[in-house]
Amino acid sequence: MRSKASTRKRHRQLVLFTAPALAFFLIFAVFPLLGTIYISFFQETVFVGLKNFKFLFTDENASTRLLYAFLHNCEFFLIAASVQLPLALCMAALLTSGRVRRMTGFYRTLLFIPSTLSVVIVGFIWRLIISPLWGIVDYPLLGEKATALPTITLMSVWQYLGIPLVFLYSALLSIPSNIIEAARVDGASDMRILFRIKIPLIAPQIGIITILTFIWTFNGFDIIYALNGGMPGPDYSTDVLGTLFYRTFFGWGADQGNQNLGAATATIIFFIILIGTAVYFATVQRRLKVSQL
Amino acid sequence: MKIKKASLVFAMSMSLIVPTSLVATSAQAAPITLTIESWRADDSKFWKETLIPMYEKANPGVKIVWAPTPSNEYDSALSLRIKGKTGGDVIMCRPYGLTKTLIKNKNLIPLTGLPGLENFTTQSMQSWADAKSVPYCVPSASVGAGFYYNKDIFKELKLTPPKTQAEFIAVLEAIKKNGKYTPLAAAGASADSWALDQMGLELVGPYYWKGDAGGKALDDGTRKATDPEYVAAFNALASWKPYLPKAFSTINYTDAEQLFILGRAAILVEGSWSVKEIAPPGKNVGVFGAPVAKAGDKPYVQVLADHGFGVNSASPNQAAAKKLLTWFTTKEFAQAYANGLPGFFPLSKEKISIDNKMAQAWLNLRDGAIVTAPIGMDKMNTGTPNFFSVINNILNVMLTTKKTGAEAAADLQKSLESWYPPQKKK
Repeated sequence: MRSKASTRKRHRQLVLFTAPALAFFLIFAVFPLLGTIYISFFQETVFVGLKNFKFLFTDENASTRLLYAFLHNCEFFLIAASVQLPLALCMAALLTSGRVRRMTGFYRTLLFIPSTLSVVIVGFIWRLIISPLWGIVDYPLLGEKATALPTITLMSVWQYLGIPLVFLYSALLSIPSNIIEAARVDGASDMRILFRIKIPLIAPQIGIITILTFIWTFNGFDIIYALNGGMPGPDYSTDVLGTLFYRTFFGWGADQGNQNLGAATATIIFFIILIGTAVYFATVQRRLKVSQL
Repeated sequence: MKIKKASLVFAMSMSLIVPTSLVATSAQAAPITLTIESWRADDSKFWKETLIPMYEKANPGVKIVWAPTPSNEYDSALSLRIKGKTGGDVIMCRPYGLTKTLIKNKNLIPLTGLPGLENFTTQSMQSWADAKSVPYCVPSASVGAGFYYNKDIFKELKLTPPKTQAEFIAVLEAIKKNGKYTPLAAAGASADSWALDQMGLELVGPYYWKGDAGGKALDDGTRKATDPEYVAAFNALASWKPYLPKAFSTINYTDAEQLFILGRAAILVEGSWSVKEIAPPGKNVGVFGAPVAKAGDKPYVQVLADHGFGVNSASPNQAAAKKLLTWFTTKEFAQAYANGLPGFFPLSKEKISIDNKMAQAWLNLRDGAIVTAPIGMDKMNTGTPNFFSVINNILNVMLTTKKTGAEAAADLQKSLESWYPPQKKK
């Protein structure tokens, strides 16, 4: 039996070992977050309560921009999730199926390489490829309101496909082989094994990837800024919450930044992500765990 | 004036470089260091190799650091640095906009009585003066917009530079019919939509809204954007539509320049600031101004005060900074500037000779024309939203979709009524 003294020692060790990470997290995540919320209640140095938020939600121009940025983010997320996840799943299933044999490592690396590139380069290359002037597509994909955002989303999907792929790949590998063998003995086809056994078993990972995509798209900024700047067009059709925040906080062109309004925008984004994630974990993810074998 | 697209990464690295270069120079102690804030990163070589050595040689004990920020980020970055008291000693002033805000917040010192200021007209000072006409910046350069044309293509198709709107359309139509060349290259990508304002509406419009009078009437709210003179201006710009490059909405500023440089486009709408890139010596390129409606009408030419220099009120070296500004008013500086940066024209009253023939051709566009400043810059360009961001977007939409000039004017009026008090519905 463990003595009281050794328990206390263990506790002390626990505190000691978590302290650096905890300090890092408090200083670089929690403190700036609270600071942001704090300055969103001010205008210059005057306390104004919820006035900044009221302005963002009720001013004719500001509220339109906020609403559209939110809707564009939803579009960004839905396209990214509905294309990236099935694609990553297919590739992970192929890589683990044994059909590619010794080329597994090669393909895994190849598919992961784009994730390591800089977004600026990815944006630049894709812009040239699909440019009607210099490239191979004879349609102004980035210049039409209807196609601009889906196009940028797909560039981003192309770039980051490797990340969910690696997640799903390792999840598929960890499925005990005796389950698969038992199914095969029972006469199940490869497809049936994939849909009835493998996918249900990795459902929690699929859930995690979905929520990570949600967080990643609602924090999205870089590729849009790299391609279209701080006032992303055409006619604001690629403006998302991230670029709206950047423009509000730092300014763009002749628009001068307002740090307090910017902080209020950042707070709104934070709560959108927080609520989305919380709802997801409270409902979907918990159920997924229960259904696990 | 040319706004280069810069990545966030670049902005970050710039902000890292600037402070370290400050540390490096102040470590040598003794001499006074003056830092110049600017958005003209393109001119760095000229400043570092010509202007700064010129001044430092004549003024031992003064060290000048040229610290540019990418143009699109200049306003926000400078505002933050000024708020944090880390701004440079000498500040490159934007016309109107940010400069007016800095003046209001007392971030610049008044330059009343600065020797040499008498070399400038009151008109060239107004974009950086307060309501009482007290100057805060030394005007240093103006730019203009117009059309470059490829002389070889014009010769091949037997065309002459147009003077009237009808001739202009006829020339464009002839090039289009020939089918070999894009008639008119311009930037239609939304990120470069500022170009459609400065080198589009502000280029062809003054003739219709009668120059400064039209600008003032819009500022005061006595006229609306939907009044015929403004609608006519929008229509003149919209008349370009059939002649713009294919997939116009994706053509960015550099693409448009490339189309013209490669000889694939016959005409390019551009600014005088790109003389060096578009018309290097040996290129057979000419220039013409905005077309008028009737032959014999006096043309209007847009003269945009591009930049000036002021002194940061938080600077510890104000006396030395003022002395540098005095040098900026001299003929010596204006002459060096005009030849070092062709296409940027000194605002000084002194007689300046310009070596670059193309730059001189740009300057000649002003002969016999009525000089005017762009509309919307003075009163409507502070705050969010502002005239600049609104008009850029409206013009981009007009030229890339089926929107007509009248609809675009209506969009502008609707927007102005929502945020610009003098235009609000009574």
